[in-house]
Order: sequence, then structure tokens, then C-alpha cells
Amino acid sequence: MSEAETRLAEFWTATDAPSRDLAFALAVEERIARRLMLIDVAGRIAAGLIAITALVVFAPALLALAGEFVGSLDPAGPVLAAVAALGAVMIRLTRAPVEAWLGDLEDPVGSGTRP
Amino acid sequence: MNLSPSDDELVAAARRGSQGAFREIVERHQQAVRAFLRRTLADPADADDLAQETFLAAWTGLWRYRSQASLRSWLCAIAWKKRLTWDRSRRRDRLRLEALEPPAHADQCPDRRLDVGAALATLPEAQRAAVALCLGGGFSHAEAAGTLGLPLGTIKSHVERGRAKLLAVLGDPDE
Repeated sequence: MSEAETRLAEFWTATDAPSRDLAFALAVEERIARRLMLIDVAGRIAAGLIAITALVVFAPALLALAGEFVGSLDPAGPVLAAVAALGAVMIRLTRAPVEAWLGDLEDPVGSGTRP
Repeated sequence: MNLSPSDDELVAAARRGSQGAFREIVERHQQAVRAFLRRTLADPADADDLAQETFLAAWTGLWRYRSQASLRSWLCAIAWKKRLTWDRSRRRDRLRLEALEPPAHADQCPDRRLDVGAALATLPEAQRAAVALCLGGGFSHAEAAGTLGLPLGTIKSHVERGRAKLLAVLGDPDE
């Protein structure tokens, strides 16, 4: 082998990469993770933009629908409020008195020492 | 008995989303890709950076891989495309820099002797790549032809002429 061929062979050996390199594999995985994150962020931004655009486009129709719905609730409002108030009173009346609860706590076995 | 999965099996698993399979592809072929880029670029850090970009591009375009070509060849083809793009952007940067400050000509120094890397850099790009793949990386001529997208005859002549030029430059640098 001539000197030039030896130098060439040495160059191929010197520029070779290690057969296993965990650091390199991890660096590649990091790049992939970064790319995945970018794709995820881009997807979310795109979805947000689509939602905003849809809202802007359909806003007049949605407002009209909401107005109709609220208008239809107007007569039923007092009735609903009365039902809610009645329900609250009924719940309060059917509950055991707070004192009884306190008594149970003070005398759990019911020895009757409490006046 | 050889229990390690074939490249095709690894590609199929990676396509299904297996991170472990893709890591095995990287570990198995990083040596070939990095060595190829190190032999065609002056800076090993640039070469490793491009090699990482190559594997990222491979991960993105894994569905394009057809098993007619070897996986190593397919990966090196991506690396070569990255290398050419990198070279073009680097050339633009260099032109911008040279517009600001004229370059110092290294060949004006009479004592400067070409080392092997510099000798390799004197070869035309495709010839350098063919030499790096076939003489440095042990690729067959057919595999190198697939990698570089050149006809088989062109690869053979690139390797033969490139080798002769390299040996001429290295054999008698004083001439």
C-alpha cells in the first residue's frame, strides 16, 4: 500500500462515527419531540382560529337564536323562581334539626347525660 | 439464531408509532449517515447537525420509504439532499460575508500542504460523495447510484477518477 493510500485509509477511519451513540439517538428524539410539539401548537392555533372565524361568521344568527330563546323564557321566569324557592323551603323543613346533630356528636352512645 | 428485527420490520413498527423501533433505526444507521456527511463536510459538528436533520426528515417521511432500496441507502439519499441544500444556503451566507470583507486566499501560502480532507474538498461535489460512499462507507456502486440518484456508469467513473485524483494529490503534494 502506498503512502497516499495509507493516508486515505487513515482518513476514512478518523472520520468514521461510533457504531453506537446514545447521545446522538437522544438528540434525534429531542428534535422529533420538538417537532411534535410544534405540530400540536400549530393544530391548536388552527382550531382556535377556525372557532373564532366560525363565531364571527355565525354571530348574527346565533344572537338571533339566543334572543328568541331568552324571550320565550320570560313568562316562565317567575314560576321557575317560585318553584326554586318552594323547593328550598321543603328541603329545609325535611332536614333533621341541627341541635339533634350536635347532640349526637356530644353523646354518641346516647347515655342521656345531656339535659 | 439472529433475533434482531430486520430494517423492514423496524420501519413497519415505526410507522405504527413505535418510538423504540425508530430509535433502533437511528442507532443502527447513524454511523453510515454521519460518516458520509463528515467526509463531505469540513466541520464534524455541521455533519452531525445535518445527520440529526436527516433522521428527523426520515421520521417525517417514513411512509415514503420503499423496501426496494436499502434503508441505509435511503437515509443517505436524504442526507445528500440535506447536504446540497445546506451547501446552497452556506454559499449565499459566504457571498454576503465576502461582500463585507474580502476572503484571505489560503492557496497563497506556498508551504501549505493539502491534507486528505482538503484534497477531498477539491473534488466536484458528486464525485466527492461517490468516493465517500464507495471508498469510505463501503457502499456498492449500485447502492451509491441509488443514493445519489445518478446512473451506475457515472458512479463508477466518479469513484475511479476521484480516487486517482486523491492519490495524485496526496502522493506528491509538492508538485
